[in-house]
Amino acid sequence: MAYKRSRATFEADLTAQHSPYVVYGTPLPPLDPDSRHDPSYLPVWQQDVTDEQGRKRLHGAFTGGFSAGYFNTVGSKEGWTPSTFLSSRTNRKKDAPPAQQRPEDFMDEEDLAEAEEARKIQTVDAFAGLGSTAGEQSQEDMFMDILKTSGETMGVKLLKKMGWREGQGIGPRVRRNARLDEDQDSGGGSDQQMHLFAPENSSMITFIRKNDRKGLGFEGGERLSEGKGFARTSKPADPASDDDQESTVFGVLKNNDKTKKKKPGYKGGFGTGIFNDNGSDDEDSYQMGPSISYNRIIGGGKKKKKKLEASRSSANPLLNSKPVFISKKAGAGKASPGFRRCYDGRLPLDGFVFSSNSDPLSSILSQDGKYPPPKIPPGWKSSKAPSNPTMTAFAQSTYQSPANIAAASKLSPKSRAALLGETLLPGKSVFDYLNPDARARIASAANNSNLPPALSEAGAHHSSSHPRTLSSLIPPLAKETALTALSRGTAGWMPYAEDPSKRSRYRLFLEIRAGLRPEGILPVRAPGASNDDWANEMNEFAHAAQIFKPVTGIMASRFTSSSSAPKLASDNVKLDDSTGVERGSQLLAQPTAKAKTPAEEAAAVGMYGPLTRSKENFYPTRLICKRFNIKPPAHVHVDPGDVPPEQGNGAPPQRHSTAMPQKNLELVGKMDMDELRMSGGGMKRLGVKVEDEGGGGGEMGGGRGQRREEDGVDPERNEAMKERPGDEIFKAIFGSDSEDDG
Amino acid sequence: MKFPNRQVTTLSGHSGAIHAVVYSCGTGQYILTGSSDRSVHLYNPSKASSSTPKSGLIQAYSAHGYEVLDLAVTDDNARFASVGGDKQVFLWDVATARTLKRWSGHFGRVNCVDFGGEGGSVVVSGSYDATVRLWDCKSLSTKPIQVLEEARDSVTTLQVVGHEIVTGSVDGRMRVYDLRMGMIFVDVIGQPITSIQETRDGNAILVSTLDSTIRLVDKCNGQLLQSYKNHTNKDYRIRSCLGMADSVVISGSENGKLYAWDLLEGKVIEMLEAHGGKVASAVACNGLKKEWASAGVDGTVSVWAMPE
Repeated sequence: MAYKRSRATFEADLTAQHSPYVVYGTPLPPLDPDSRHDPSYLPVWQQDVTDEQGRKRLHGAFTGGFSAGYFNTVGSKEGWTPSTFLSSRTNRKKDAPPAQQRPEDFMDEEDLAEAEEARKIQTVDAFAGLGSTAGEQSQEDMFMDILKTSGETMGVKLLKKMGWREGQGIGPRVRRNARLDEDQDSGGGSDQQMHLFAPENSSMITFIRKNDRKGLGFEGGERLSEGKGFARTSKPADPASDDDQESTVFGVLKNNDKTKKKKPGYKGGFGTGIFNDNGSDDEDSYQMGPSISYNRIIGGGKKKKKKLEASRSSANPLLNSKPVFISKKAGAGKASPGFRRCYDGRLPLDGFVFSSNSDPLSSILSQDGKYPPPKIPPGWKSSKAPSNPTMTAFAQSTYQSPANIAAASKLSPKSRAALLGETLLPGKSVFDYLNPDARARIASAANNSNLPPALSEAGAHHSSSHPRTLSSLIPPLAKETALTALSRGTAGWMPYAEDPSKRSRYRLFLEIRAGLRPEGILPVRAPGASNDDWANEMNEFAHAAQIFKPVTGIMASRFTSSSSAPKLASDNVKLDDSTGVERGSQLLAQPTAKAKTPAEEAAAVGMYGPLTRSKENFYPTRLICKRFNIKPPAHVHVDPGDVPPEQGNGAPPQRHSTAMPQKNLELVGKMDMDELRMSGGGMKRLGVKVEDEGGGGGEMGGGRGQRREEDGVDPERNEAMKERPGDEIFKAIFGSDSEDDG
Repeated sequence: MKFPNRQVTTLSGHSGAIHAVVYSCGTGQYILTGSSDRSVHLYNPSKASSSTPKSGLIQAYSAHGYEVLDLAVTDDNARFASVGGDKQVFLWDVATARTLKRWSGHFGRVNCVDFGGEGGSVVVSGSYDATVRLWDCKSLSTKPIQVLEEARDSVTTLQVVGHEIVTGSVDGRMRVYDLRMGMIFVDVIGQPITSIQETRDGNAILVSTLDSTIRLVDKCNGQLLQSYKNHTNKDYRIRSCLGMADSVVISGSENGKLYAWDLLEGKVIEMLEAHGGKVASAVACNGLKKEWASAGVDGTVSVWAMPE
């Protein structure tokens, strides 16, 4: 890029470099105008504006002008794609959510590149904390956290979860009057309603570091400034309290909510009138300076100090909790005249002292024998006694190992599982069906005594353990099986078609097993059948239900039921007996009429409408939509760049693809023709009237043309193909293209 | 109701059965006929007289090698398409009488053709090979833009109305391809369909079937609105049409008669004898005047107008 210099500089430079001999006039520019390795000056009108990829950005009107789209048109090779018409009635533009615009929408690629450059990759601070010097501060905090809590402690968190809030005391709620005004005497409004309040907050004791050189407890000038006045008491409302004067050696008693509204602790000053007189006589209204009396005599003031302390402690009950230093010797001496020992005869640990007043429990314990526990009156029985006598027995019996108990119990794993309500394990062992003798034989044969116990279940089934009732003879059948078998019956087919009474018995059996009939009903037995016959029939029914229950799932969709029920052998026999003609007519191969779809049946009876209408998806290609000047439907996702439009098709409309092999297409068409001929031609074959008047090509009605073809020789047609099953079967088995639509 | 039952003139000139007759678009001044003599004729019925043969014949278009089965004219009357037994779709220039395009791709004879799209940019053809093919007039491509293979049997008739392609097939199903919605609405009529025409308001479709019945089917739900009977149509493709501003249904018959029904009542209002008792294969109504034309396998076109 040429940087600009002044003309004079440029010319001087040029003259010096290229044409040192030119004295008059302006020298010619360098010979090769294309070589711009040197930062030679370019006039503005010769400078090109290019982007970083060297593309020319500005086009003059005479050098090509604006170039866009497809050969300077909006649109593409196939023309202009219209935008969709949006009816303003139903789909208003203003109702639509405004399109979210981002800054990136207004940036060209250079701006985007800049923005990309401006981004920095960096780690999150917390991640960088370990090992980098930048995070030293946080590292410090990390170790400081061990010693000192920051933020909320876990206790505070727990309390807050339990409903405590900052500023409240801990404990059960207290019923008291509402303190609406701090200045008001709490006892004043006796007629006020009582409310539940959180208990008063107990104050924390804080110690104030003394970093001045004033005397202990001196806080002279600070009294005048309200802001610095330490809140020293929780009872500022008590005018008689004198302990403002007292020094707070151990710190301040802070009560947050009261500090701010505390009356300024002015004790004197000008303008104190009669109303300021609070009745205490010994107070000097005009006292200057702190009212602390210094001890001027060493040792002399000790008595007084103690007295002060005593008075203070009595004045403020909270001061009871102040830690009081008691010297060891003094404490020990005060506690007991002699050495007291612990119960085990040892001295207490260092730093611990015996309490002077003993707690009641310890006193009871200490005075053993003096207050024995009350005796249980004879004949008393606990109401909490276990009701189960066996449990009591267990409890009373001596300890037994679990293995012993297990060995003693008569419960098998199965019965135990039943007691516990567990689901039984599916499998059954052989030994469940063996009787103990057989098991013993096996054990001796196998030289293995560690065999599962024989349960002889099968024996139990058949033998006397069950009462031999009629209902027990009915074989079990899963309810679902019975239901499905029944549903198959309702769908149109049921076994025992040749014997209606047997069929009705079968149906009744299924209904009983499906739970559709009440429990007690027994299946009807055939007239003149013995119990065994009846039981056999029931077993047969159970088998039939297992076999003839309809196929479900994928298999069901793969098969279609044949339109006609299989002819029974008995039917044929009957026909044969009666008339041979009928028998013969059966042998004649009759083309079966193509099964009519429900829609066709509906159309045949004239029920046009929803029954005869069906919808399918349709995938018009983009080019079609463009030609029809419509927007492609939403489910057509064809990239117009994928396939050249001359090829005709986009990818998804599989069923319309021209890529289908031509032979295949023709074959399918022929097969369909055959089908139609079978359906239509079979019925009308005898009635075909050859129309001569039409003369050659006069008839092109589909039906007519086909029938003609059929009359002639058709090499494509095979007699064996007459029995060709329905197209749906092939479709279902080999997969149909209509599945792709879903 | 007055029905144009006066035979104005007879257009002759074809040496074979006429399978298709259409009026030109707009004023309907001209009649185009397609015949099994492999030619397409352009007539001016107002210049024709029954006495002189080939009177009123303006142009004969001959390029087909087989019979011509259907014709379609563009809106600007500049081009027309013809299809027939030679498995090809011909696009003609009306003025120069030369084919602009010949698309081949069907595997059987082509039964029906219509123009679609903006300015007739797409030619839609239905064939005996059970497919409907859409051809692009604007490109030089020789392949169809799309092939509709839903029909299970020969596609005998189709009509393109706006963004919908209505097809009728021998499989007894009428299919409405809605390009805008991307849906196919299949209506089972139950009998092989020979002719389909949508009403002008687009609410109903007139369907002729091979059970000698013409049905008016509600387009939105497939219900039967009216059926028209009494004519004979069992073997041949006989075209029916709506006329007189969709108030009359007109159809030919296999016994050479022409029937006209009242659209709403379903009653025969007119029965005319024509075409020498031979099959009256096609009828066409003038869009502007109260005039219609019928074509028969006798090779003539009868033009009917209001009685004087």
